[in-house]
Amino acid sequence: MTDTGGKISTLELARLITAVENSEITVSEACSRAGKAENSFVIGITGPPGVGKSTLLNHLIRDFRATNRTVAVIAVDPTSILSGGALLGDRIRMQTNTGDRGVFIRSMATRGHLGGLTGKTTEVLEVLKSAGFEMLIVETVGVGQTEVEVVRVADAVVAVTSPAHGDEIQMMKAGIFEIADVIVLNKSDYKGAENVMRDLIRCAEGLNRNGWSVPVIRMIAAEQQGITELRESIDSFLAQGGGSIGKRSLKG
Amino acid sequence: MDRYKEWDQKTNEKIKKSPERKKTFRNHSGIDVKRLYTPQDNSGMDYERDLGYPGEFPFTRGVQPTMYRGRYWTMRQYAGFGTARESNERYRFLISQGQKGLSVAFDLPTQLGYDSDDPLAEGEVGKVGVAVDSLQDMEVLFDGIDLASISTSMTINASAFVIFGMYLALARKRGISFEKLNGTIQNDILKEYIARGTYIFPPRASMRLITDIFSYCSEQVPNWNTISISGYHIREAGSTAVQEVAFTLADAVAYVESAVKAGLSVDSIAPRLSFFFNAHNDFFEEVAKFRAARRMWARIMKERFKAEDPRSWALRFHTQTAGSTLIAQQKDNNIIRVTLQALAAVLGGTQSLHTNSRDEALSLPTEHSVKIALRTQQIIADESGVCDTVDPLGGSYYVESLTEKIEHEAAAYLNKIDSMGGMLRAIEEGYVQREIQDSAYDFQRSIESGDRAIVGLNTHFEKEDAPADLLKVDPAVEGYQKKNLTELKNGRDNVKAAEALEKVRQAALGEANIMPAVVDAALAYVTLGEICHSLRKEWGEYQERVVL
Amino acid sequence: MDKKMIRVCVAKPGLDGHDRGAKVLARALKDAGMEVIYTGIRQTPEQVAETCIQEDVNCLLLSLLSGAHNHLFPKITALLSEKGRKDILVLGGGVIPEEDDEFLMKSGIKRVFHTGATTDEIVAYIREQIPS
Ligand SMILES: Nc1nc2c(ncn2[C@@H]2O[C@H](COP(=O)(O)OP(=O)(O)O)[C@@H](O)[C@H]2O)c(=O)[nH]1
Ligand SMILES: [Mg+2]
Repeated sequence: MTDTGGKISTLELARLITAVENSEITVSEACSRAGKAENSFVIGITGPPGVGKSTLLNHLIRDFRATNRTVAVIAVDPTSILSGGALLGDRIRMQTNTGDRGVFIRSMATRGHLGGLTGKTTEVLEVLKSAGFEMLIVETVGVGQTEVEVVRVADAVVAVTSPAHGDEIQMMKAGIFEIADVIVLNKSDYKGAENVMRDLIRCAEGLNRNGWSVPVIRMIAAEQQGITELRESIDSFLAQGGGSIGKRSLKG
Repeated sequence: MDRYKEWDQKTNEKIKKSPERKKTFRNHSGIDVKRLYTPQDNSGMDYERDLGYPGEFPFTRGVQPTMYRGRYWTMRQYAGFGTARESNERYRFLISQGQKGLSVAFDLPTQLGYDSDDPLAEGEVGKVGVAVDSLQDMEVLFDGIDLASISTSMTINASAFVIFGMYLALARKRGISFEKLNGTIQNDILKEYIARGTYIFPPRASMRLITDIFSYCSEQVPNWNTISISGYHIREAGSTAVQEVAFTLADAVAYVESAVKAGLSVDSIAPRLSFFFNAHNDFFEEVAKFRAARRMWARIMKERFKAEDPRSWALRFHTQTAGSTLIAQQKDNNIIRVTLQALAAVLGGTQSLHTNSRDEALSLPTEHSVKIALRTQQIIADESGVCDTVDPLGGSYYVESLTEKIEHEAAAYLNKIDSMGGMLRAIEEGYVQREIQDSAYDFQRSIESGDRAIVGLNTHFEKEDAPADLLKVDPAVEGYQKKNLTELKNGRDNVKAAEALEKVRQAALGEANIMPAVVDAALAYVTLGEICHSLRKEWGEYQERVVL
Repeated sequence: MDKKMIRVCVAKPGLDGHDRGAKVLARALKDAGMEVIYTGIRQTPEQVAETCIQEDVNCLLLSLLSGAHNHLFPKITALLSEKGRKDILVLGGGVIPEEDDEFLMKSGIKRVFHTGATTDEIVAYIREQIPS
């Protein structure tokens, strides 16, 4: 398996990210210290809390590693407006092999930034790219259009929903469909999955963008079902040009 | 004007001059406690319908007609640490002190299906209970103890099917028929997902193991309590009394539903279900809690599941005093806390009781502390007189009103959980965990703000020296267990062991009941770790649902 | 919002599943304005160390109730210093007898909080040790 080639140690990388987050150092400075970028892609994973994003991501990381690619993850959770503190718990589900230098996971709080990302996501992504990571994944909470800023930074956007999030599906239809390149119906083991699936497929049919028809993937992340299919969809979307295919007006 | 209102108004005038201690009085569940309870507070109550008679539906007043006039509750102290040999000595000591039932605590590797030589077991072997790797340890653990004449309660859940399999194997080896065996396995996986954390497999596989045990026992081990559905740990995790009742009963509903789905009849399994509750500090709230739980369960079984056997309606339960209320400061005060909690359990009609030892906030209890805890129960039983009539608090305006309130609020939770698609879903969605965590957080804040007084902690504290004479587990246990394991694996018939293990795996993959294969594997000295490891590969492991 | 943040890892090494204290504390630290990375239960020393490094935390709180602290805590501090993060403020909590404090402090645990310690106390201590 490849790793980041020992350009920069995990410890140094972690510290660089902190420095960038705290604006103690410019991005270009940080990038030049981190190393040289490989060919890389940014994948955004968005959906309501509890829908299974981190669970799915855990398997996706493994799948990318198994196909010999290095992976860096930024997991974003909201900062409390009241206290300025944050609880970051996404790592719990991402229990990768310790000591594998081809995986790097970092939790970030939004620190007052709106839109589902942190004010420094773009910058931190640049640093991770420079450190040689190939697949960069951003997990963000998003249910409506205001929270889908992820589209600005991602080459491919995966929107996740589940039968347990019925109320949010309406919102999803409004917002996320416009930006999703791949749609995942997770928790398909839940009652009502059939109907939601049919519904999603119907909505996705209208989304043919320059030859890319947005797939809907049926998944049970907790039982590892549908992961390979998702990975393959992402790969073929990226192979066809990724975010450049009919990228949406939102992308600024 | 009615006399009560008159009195209330007059008193409200009075307290303008000399106010009460607090503006509002609230119990642990957040229920407002009134200044005074009168018959008006019980006006919705129908004696025959809501209370009835002890030993009869809806069992509010107790599950037996004579309660403690017939026989006291079973005094059962949870014990176990280090090696099987050391624990065996403690059991014999307890039996010599008049204890009738054993209660076995296992160490964490055993609870999680790891052998003592597993890298993940490092540092944990023998720490919170006894280490059991194979039938060999079981033989030592019960050395000189007649399995047919005691009742054995085992705190074992995710790996219960293996440990129970070993217990059965031991009985078979000693030629004791399964019908003579008495006891309980905790076997309650749902509360592990919610509150206690010692799960192994994902829910579907876990539920299947549990229904396998139900069905095996209903045919082979008829006097065994196949599950002890536990609110204890839910409460220890910080829930309120209402939540303890609600989530425990919701778990119970899920088990019954799963058994019914597997084709078992309600009346064939329900009489062997038992419960396990916490006895916390708020005395009357606790008494009311036990009474409410009994009434609710009776109604659920009769009305929802259409059970016909009265034994299916009766909620029998074990109680343990609340470990989380014990503090390290002025540890002897814990004896008094335990006394009050134990009294609440007795007045609530418990079938068996464990009283915590005063040093449990610090370490495993010493023999001396365990004896005081046991004597506490004996004093309540023999000296206090509370055992001389059934349900002495029945009819108290306050207790009856609280009983009704708790039932009402717990029922609201049960409805909510049903509407989410049942308890498994509610757990997967993190709903139950979040409710408990919120209560735990509020509880901690109320202590830190001084709203809730804890003697020795935020009031009446004093400087004291570090406590002495604590019990420590000898770290040599780990090495000892490892050595035994190596010898076992070299000494046993490994071909036979491998065959037996493969049969367990086959059973797990198929539809047949897994228990016969597990008993055979235990007899072939297949280890706990070998069985669980093999099934982990087939079923995967549960990932905790953390809601923060 | 560009001031230095206190980032704390709340970790549960070992096999015990009693996470009430760890979770209450995590929430209190968040309410005190810190960024808290919670690891979940049953973490190996290697996992805890790796999380601390990747997340670049200033403080690590270890909560353990099984009695395996004398074995697991020193393993974690050793891994941290081996990997170059000796500077992390490591604190212990859970069911730990006072007589073990000395040994733990010698192995790099800055302070042990015993049952009864308040979250306010712990917050204040972290703030005092990590001036922002
Ligand atoms: N039944 C079921 N549960 C799932 C599935 N995927 C994830 N979960 C559970 O859903 C919960 C939330 O998952 P998580 O990945 O933390 O969600 P996130 O908040 O979107 O990152 C966890 O308890 C998972 O185990 C699935 O396909 N089926
Ligand atoms: Mg997540």
